[in-house]
Amino acid sequence: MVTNSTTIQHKPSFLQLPGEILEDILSELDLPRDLISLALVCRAAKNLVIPRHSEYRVIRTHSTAPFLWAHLARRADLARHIREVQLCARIDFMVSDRCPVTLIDRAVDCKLENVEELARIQNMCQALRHMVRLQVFKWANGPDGKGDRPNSACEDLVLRVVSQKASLRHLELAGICGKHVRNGKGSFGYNYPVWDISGLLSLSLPGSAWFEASNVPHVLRMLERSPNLEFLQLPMEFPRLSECRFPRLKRVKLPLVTGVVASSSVDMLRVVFLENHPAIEELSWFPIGPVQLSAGSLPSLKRLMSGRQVIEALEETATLRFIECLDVWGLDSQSLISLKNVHGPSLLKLKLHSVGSLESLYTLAETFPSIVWLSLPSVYLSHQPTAIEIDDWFNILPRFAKLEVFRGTGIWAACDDSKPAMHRAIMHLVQLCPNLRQLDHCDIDQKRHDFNRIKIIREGMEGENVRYEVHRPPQWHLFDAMDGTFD
Amino acid sequence: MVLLVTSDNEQFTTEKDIVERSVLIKNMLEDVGESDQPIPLPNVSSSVLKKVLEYCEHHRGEPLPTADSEQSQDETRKRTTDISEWDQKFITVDQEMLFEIILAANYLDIKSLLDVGCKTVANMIKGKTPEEIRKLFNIVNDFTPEEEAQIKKENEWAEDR
Repeated sequence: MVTNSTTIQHKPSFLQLPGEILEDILSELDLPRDLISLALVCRAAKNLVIPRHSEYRVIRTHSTAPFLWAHLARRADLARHIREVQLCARIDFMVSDRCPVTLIDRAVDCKLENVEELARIQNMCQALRHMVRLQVFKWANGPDGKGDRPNSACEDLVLRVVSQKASLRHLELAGICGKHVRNGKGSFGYNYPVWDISGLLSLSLPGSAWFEASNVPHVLRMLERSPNLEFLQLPMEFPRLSECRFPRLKRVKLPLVTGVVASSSVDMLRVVFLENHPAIEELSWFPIGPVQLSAGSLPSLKRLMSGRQVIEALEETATLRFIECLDVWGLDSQSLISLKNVHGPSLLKLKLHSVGSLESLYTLAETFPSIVWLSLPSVYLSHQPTAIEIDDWFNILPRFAKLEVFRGTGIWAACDDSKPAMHRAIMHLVQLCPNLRQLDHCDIDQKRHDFNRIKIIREGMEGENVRYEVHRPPQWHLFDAMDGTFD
Repeated sequence: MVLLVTSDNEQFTTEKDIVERSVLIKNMLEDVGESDQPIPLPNVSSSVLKKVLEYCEHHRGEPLPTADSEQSQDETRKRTTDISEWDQKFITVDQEMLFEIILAANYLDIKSLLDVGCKTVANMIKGKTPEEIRKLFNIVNDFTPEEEAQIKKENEWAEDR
């Protein structure tokens, strides 16, 4: 064999880096999307990514998952990659489970002793300790806590570990979390660990425990520790909200939790809070009574889900609003058109709950020419509710020249829920609306309580071959003040 | 002063507190004690060592990562989430040099430099399609179309993230 006498300099390449370095590089990839892109590069990359990384970024479970926690407690090398833990309420079907499966060792992890509650909580704490890059933690026990209700001491144990995560940026504590806390103290008089959490960018505390009078000062102290918050969900009943200042706050949801604070004085305090936060772009707020906003309020608002009084208060400010997404209960098509301060070309997504006349829809299309996403009811209200006929739909929808998504059951109703008639309607609509890519199906996904989606696929050089598929409604994203309305 | 000899037999004289950012060299110096003997670095070429010493000199005096208790790991993570402006500029090199620096940092046991290198490679991957990554690293796709479709199907969920 003849060999070249000159030394060939070995040049390192990505896949030839030592395994532990590749492991370090992959550990830096937060998003499953990036991991899967890498896995699709070649077989060697796939073997690096799947399942060691692909299954260890997001943990989302609706069950107590004792074997999962035993597995993660034992495998620090895998748990350290996890960025997101979502412990969902059993009845929350808006998201699907996502848990490691492949590397669970049935003989070691799936022992009966791991089911015992104390062992399970200890494993959970240990697993969380391993998660040095944990960024997102959601704990939403069911309202009754049946079966998986940890006692309050267990809750404190878990949250103590979570509160020590310097990497934590996004937190949601729902359900029964915090219910046992009185005067800021958790079980056995311990300081409730949640109060020590700091440096958050997103915080969601939707339960009633947070506005218990004795806990309010502690919640305020906790909020002060996260001055860079970008998302905040707090019950409308939470007092002293107007004292908070978050210069970067962009998304806000203020739900009414108990409904017992039936006083419009609460609205005034929210108004002060909103006026103090000019960076807010996304707002979900249904005030109890009429509200008044000052001229400079909410200058950055782009997405609004509210009652009619909010959009009317915005109109009163005589400031042009560049709103992109709008879902206002009680606002009909004619009233929307009459709003002088909503900049027409900015509106991209609109959910209307009420339509006054067909003509108002024609005007609506002219006033808001950029709409790509539209949800309309199946009837209009002239003298009485009147169904919108299929030819009316064929006349109305093409007027929204950029329409991509149409939500609502109107077309189905016009087809008498007949699938052959709907098929013909879809095939006609795709010609009338060249950008149309999604419609609602008539079947409801029983778990997600929403209509399935008809996804329109255009193939061929000029999209001349059209077919469609039916998909279940998408999952909800965490920290979405709009509750997935504009998916 | 410490004398270092690279794989291509070039000699570098540097100060002890600069070069002790390398845990390997620090341990060697502690083992050997006061000595004029050169330290051979057979896995590091002169062009790479020059870059590594530039890094060590810039970060001279900064605290080294300590014991790996969970708390300190967390704090280290917090500190190094982003690459500093100087480090970013420093690590803007061609791909071959980037990998050489990573290998040298690993060999010399300079954790912070290894972190910067790994984060830089990860940042190069982020947001890219499989084809773009292949092009970036000059990798040939050895999947059959069926295998590729299967991986995509099994991991559709990831697209939503």
